[in-house]
Amino acid sequence: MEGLFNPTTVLLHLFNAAILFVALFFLLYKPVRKFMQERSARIENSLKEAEEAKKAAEEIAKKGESVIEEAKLQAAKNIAEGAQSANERAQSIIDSANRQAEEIIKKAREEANSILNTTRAQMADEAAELAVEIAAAILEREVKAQDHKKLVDEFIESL
Amino acid sequence: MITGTIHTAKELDEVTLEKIAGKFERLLGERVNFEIDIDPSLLGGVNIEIAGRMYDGSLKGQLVHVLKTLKDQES
Repeated sequence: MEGLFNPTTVLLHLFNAAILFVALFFLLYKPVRKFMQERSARIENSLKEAEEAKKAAEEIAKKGESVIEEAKLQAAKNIAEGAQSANERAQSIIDSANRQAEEIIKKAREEANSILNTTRAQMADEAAELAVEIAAAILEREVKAQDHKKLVDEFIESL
Repeated sequence: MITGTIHTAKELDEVTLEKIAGKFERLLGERVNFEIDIDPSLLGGVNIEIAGRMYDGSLKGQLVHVLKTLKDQES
């Protein structure tokens, strides 16, 4: 039984352990603590940087949305203006076509009136010529020698 | 002496010709001599050409005048 449990050995082991512990404490504790502190600081910095990057990204996203929104508004405005302009152009074309149509109708009426007046004048002239031809035909048949002499005598007196 | 032409619808007798000659001699102050041209288209009366002028006493001329008047009134 002494071989299994020797107080001296145990004490020695404990002493060794204590020395080891102290040695490790002085050798490792501070560096490890320093390492851990530095690591925590790094992690904290990384988190801060990430947070800042996230904020910056959000800012950029907001600006991007704002630009997109503005572009949408401008596009809608351009479309509306374009539509209005197209309507105005179409109305202008319609008005021009109406004016041209009215002008054509007016000219056609004037031409028709002119043709009508000319035809009336021609018909009147033809009627007058026909009347004179008929009168001439009658006179040629009816004028006798004494009528002719009378005409000549009256003509001489009139000179 | 001046020469002219009498265009007549029918023949003229000598008395009438002398009347015409006498009239124009007084008008023009010179002796005149006329050539005679019978033109039935005049219908009646005479048309005298002398000294560059025309003296129209024909029925045809009067009808033409009537026609011209009618046309002028219409226009």
